[in-house]
Amino acid sequence: MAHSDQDIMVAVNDVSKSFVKPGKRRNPEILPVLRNINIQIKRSEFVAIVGPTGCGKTSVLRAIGGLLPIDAGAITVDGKLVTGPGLDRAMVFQDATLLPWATALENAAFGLKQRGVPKKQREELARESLETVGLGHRAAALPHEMSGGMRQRVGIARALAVNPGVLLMDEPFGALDEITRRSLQDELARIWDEDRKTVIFVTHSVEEALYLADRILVMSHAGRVTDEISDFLPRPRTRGMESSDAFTRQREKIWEALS
Amino acid sequence: MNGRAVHARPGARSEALPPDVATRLARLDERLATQWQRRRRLEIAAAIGLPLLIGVAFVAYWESATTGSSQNVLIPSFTSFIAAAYDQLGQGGFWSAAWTSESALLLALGAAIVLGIPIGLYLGRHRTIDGLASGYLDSAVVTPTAVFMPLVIVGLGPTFWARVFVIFIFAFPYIVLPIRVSSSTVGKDLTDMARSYGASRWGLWRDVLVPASVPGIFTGLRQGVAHAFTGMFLIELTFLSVGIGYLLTGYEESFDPADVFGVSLIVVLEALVVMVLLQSAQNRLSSKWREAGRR
Repeated sequence: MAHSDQDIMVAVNDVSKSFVKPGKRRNPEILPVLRNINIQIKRSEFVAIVGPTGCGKTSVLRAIGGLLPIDAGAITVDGKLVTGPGLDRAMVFQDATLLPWATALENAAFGLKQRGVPKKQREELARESLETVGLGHRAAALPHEMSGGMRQRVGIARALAVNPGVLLMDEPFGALDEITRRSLQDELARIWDEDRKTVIFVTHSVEEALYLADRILVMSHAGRVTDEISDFLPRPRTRGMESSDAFTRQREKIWEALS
Repeated sequence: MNGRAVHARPGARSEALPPDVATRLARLDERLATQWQRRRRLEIAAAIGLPLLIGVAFVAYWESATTGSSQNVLIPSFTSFIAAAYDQLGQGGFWSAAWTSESALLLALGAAIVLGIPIGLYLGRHRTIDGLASGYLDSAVVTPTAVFMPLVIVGLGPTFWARVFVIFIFAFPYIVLPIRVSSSTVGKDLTDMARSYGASRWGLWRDVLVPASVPGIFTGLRQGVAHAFTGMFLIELTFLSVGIGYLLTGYEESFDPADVFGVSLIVVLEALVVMVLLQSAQNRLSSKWREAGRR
């Protein structure tokens, strides 16, 4: 799908990445992870990337986040070349990755602290973020005093606190039980409705992708984007849509693309 | 969204239940609480009472075995050496000797800590440099450090600095090693997270690597203190008869076991107090460092 340059928030152009590991007889073994990936994501678009384990979807996200150097191609965010992590992007990880010794407030303020925001101001912003995710009353809690769902919400609050241009979410609900997962999906949908950030959401759940995203990119084991599905459900999304014919059709279409 | 986890609140199961069932369950809860409290009291009593009982039994046996016995020449009675320890505290000679020993200990231990903590942290994050240092560190813990004492004396003479150096080499590897392990096992996910949020090298150390290594730092401090005291005793009792070592040697040569035990007791108590304070500080912090992201 062609977009004007000003619409494009994230552009991944001809990106390839391989890992090198020692092989037999000291000959290195080349493991291709990403093969000539081309993705364009519009501003305020919610894009999900689905694919089987090991297809490279997390690698794409980490490359956009600046955590994974690429071998070929270029990635730009808001027109600027990605050469490393940046203030314009914030990542939410699968297992929350909170600092175990820090409170929810301190964890939510972590990104702000790295950006040199003064203490009083960063605590205010962090508190607002915690309120956004419904954890304002647990600001003083330590990670081991919180459930998995609460920890993940702190991870989301930490990302929101820095007000990034792009939110990168790497299977953020993958480690949670179904009840908590659905609750957080609703929470994320509500937050996105209010804020309309550009979101790139990696998941292995087709249903989750359909419920949350505007567009779904399907990746294969070969490290390539093999299919793209968009305009499948109107917004705002409701749980009732999950039993609709449109939802079922799209789900089957994606499963076909994955097989 | 409310975000409350699905779990039973205390007393929740009494809601919407028939009254007789609710009453029976409430009584069961009470019984469980009472049993838990009883068990907890027994645990506390055992934790305090048992060591106390063993201690009292041991002291009673010691006192009866040594009072009026020819063994007094070597082993004093418990009451006599406690009295001797008390007397020592009132003597200027003891405090002068203690300062002679402690000044070397404090300087050596201080240097070992000031150098050991950053070196341990650094080695844990730099594999190549760690590879170079590991030969020394690993051999330092398997080799009796005491064998190096004569070399130190020859090199530095029978001086204050020789004592400082010996205590330093006793303590330094045991401070570095746990910190190095702690630093090296900080999860990549934590460091990636920090980098993803723009943490500089300084920010990464300040906000992730050093806090994550706090348990290892405390372990290193406790081990370092213990080995520093060992080094101090060894050098003063073997090669350089000064300070506490001089006192002990003197009392040994005059067959005064009560004073030997008394002086030793004071130093051991001093070391124990430091260890208990460090352990206490570590325990207070450990609740925060639970599930410290080890991968």
